[in-house]
Amino acid sequence: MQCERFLENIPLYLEDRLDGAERAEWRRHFGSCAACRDTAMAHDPSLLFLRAEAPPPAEREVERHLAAALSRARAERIERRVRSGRVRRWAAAAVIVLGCGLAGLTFLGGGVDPGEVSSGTPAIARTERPAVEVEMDGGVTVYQFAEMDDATTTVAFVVNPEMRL
Amino acid sequence: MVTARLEVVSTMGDDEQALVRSARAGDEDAFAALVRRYMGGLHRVVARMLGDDEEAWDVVQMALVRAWQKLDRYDSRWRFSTWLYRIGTNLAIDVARARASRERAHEAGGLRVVASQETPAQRLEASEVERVLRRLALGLSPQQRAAFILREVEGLDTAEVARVMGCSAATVRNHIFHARKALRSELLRRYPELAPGRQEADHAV
Repeated sequence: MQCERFLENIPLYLEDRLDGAERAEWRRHFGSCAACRDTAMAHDPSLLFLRAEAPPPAEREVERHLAAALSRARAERIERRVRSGRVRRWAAAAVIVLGCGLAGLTFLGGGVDPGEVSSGTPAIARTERPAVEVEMDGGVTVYQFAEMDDATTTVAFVVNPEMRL
Repeated sequence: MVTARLEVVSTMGDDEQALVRSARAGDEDAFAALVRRYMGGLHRVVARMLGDDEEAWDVVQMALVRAWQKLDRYDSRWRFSTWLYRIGTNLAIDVARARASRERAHEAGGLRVVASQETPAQRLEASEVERVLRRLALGLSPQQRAAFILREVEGLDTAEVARVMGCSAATVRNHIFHARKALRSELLRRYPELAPGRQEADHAV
């Protein structure tokens, strides 16, 4: 770029009215021609900062921070898994409590017909006894209060092994 | 010096796309290869925004962690570098906001100017310009800082800066307009010798 053209384009550069190629060329000329640079900076001293230059970081430093970032990412992944495991345990506990409550109301004299629990809840076909009964670790018993071919199936978890439905 | 110094403007080649695919599949080495090439530039931008090299590395690390975690959300129509710079710049803006109430950095030490026939602005070494920039940039709002550094110092065009900052081109221009105004004023007040012609013009009035 000729100096004359550069000087003409100073206001256009400052107003961001140069296209990409012209802008790049203007900046190159700014970097290489001290006299034009001074003239441009007399228009706007903040153009001084086009000359700012930071040394590139050492490769070793980049590698050190990259390794640290990957290590942080792994640690956060593990932490998230642990946290989500805790959430699952709380959700299981909530289901257990809910199931106990429902079972208690239905079979231990609560007098609530499961089909009438809520208008939004699908009716559960009552059976004489739970269709399935599974003993799990930790004294958890799983009951199924519906026939196997019934799509609307409910399950209760009973934590107290002494408690039988 | 003012050449296209930013890797962020490089086009995304097949090699980079392949690295993105592998990284998405959980390949840490591919992710490392992908981000390694942009870490220096990202650190430079963040350090200029925060005026602190060590804090900037911390932000770069946070940006990498976030990029790794959110890689499935990366839209490959964008350059990967733009996306990474966006994460890093937003984090730097957050950090700058969080410490906005702190005292601004004290001006320390004089500037090292080499004796010659050149004007003070010409004699000033690029590294000293860098120091002045970091010092004065702290007086800008975080957004003005980001816009000015990305466009004026790093050489990105306005559209690219808008993509990095997640705002419109008009907003970027507005930030830069105000940043220039503030920097101009601070530069003349604190370093009048670095504004060639301006003093003479001021004296002539």
